[in-house]
Amino acid sequence: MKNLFLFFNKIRFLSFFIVLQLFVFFLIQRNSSYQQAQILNSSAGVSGWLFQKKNSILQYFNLKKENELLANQNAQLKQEAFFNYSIVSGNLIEINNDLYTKQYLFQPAVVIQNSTNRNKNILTVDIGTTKQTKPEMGVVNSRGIVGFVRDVSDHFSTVMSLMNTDFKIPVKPLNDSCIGTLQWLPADKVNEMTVKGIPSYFKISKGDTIITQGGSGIFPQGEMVGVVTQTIPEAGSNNQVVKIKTAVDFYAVHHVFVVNNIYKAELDSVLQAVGQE
Amino acid sequence: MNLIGANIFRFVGLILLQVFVVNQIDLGFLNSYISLAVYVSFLLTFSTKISKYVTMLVALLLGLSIDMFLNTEGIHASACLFLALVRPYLLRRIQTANPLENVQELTVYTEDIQKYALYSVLLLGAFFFWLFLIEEFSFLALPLILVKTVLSTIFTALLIIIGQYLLYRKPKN
Repeated sequence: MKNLFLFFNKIRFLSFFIVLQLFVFFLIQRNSSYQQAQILNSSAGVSGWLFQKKNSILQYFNLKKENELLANQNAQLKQEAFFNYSIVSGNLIEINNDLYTKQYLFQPAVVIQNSTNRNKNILTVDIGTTKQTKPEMGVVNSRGIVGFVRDVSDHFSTVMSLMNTDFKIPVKPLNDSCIGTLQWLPADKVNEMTVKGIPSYFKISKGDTIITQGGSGIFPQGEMVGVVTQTIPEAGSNNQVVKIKTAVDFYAVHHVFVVNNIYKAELDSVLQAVGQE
Repeated sequence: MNLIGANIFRFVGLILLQVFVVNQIDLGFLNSYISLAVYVSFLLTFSTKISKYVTMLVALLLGLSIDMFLNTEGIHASACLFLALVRPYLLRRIQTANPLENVQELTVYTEDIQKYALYSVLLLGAFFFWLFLIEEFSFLALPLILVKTVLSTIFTALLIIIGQYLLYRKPKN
C-alpha cells in the first residue's frame, strides 16, 4: 500500500500533465465536430475586435489591388445589364420578369483574418447574425469560390476556407456533365486543389475550367472554382485525379460576398425527406 | 509583484507579436513546411523559481490564448503542455554552475550560448513534434511531420535567440 502511494507520488507531475492534456483533447474534439464552440473561436469577443482593428489599418495596403478587382467586376456587371442588349426586333424580344425570381442574395463582407499555412485553414469575416449570416452559407469573391460559413457570432463569422482538408463539395467541368469531389489534400500546396471521382473516359485537358455544380445549395451553379493544371489516372480504379489551380488567390482574399440561398431550407427539407424513406 | 507584472506584460506582448507580426510573414511555398512559434519564447525564458505545476497551468493558458486567435482548436495548448512536461527534466540535465533556483528569467545571458541553444532546440523540437503530430493525427505522415519539425525548430530557435540578444540587456555582474 505504501509502495502504491509512493508510486503515485512519483508520477504526480505526469498525471497532472495527462489530466490537462485530456481536457485539451476534449476541446479539440468538440471544436472539430462542427458544433458551435464559441470559446475558442476568433468570431468571439476580444480576438474578433482586435482583428477588426488590425484590418482597419492593413486594408490600406491592399487598396490598389482591390480597386482593380472591383473595377473589373463593375465592368462585367455593366456588360450584363439589361440596357446593354439592343432590341433586334420589336416583336421578337420580350422580357417576362415573372419568369425569374431571385434565388441568391449576395452580402458584401471583409476578411479580417486569414491563414494559409495549416491543414485546416479558417478565415474570419466581419458580418454575423446581425446581418442574417447563418452557418453553411457560401462565400465567394469576384474571382471564384472561397469557402463556406462555419460558426457565427453577433458581428463575426468564421469561414472554412477551400484550403482546409475537411472541405468537400461537388464540382464539374464547364463543358461536361460529369461530377467530381473537390478537396484539398494534405499534400496540395496553397492555391492548388484536387478533384476526385471523375471517370477516366471523360476527356479533361489542361486549361479546362472547373465550376460549382450547385447541388449542395451552398454555392450558385456555375461559380468559378479553378483551372485544370494536370490529370493523372488513379491507380487501381476507373477514375482520374484532376489537379487544379484555384481561381482565388488565397494569399490575398479581402473583399468577399456571403451567398444566401433563399431556397436552401426548402432544398434541405426535400433532401432530408429522401433520406428518411 | 515586479516579476508578475513583467510576466503579464511579456505574455500579452508575445501573443500580439505572434498573431499580428509573425503570423503575417509570408514564406511563399515554404509556408506549408515552416511555422514560426515565437510566442514559445515565453515558456523558454519562464522563471525557474516557479513550481512546475504553475508553469504547466501558465503553458495551458498561453496555448489556449494562441488557439483562440488562430482558430486552431486546442493544438497549440496541447503542444505547450507537452513542452511544460519536458522542461523540468531537461533543466535538470543541463544544470550548470549557477543554481537555476535563483534564475528570474532564463535567457541567453544566464547560460552560455551553446547550452542555451541546445536547450531551446530540444524544447522547440519537442513542441513542434507534438504540435504537428496532433495536427496530422496519424503516424503515417511521420516523414512529413519530421521535416516540418526540423525546419520549424531551426528557424524559430534562430528567431528567438536573435530576439533575445536584441531585446535583453546583459546583466551587470
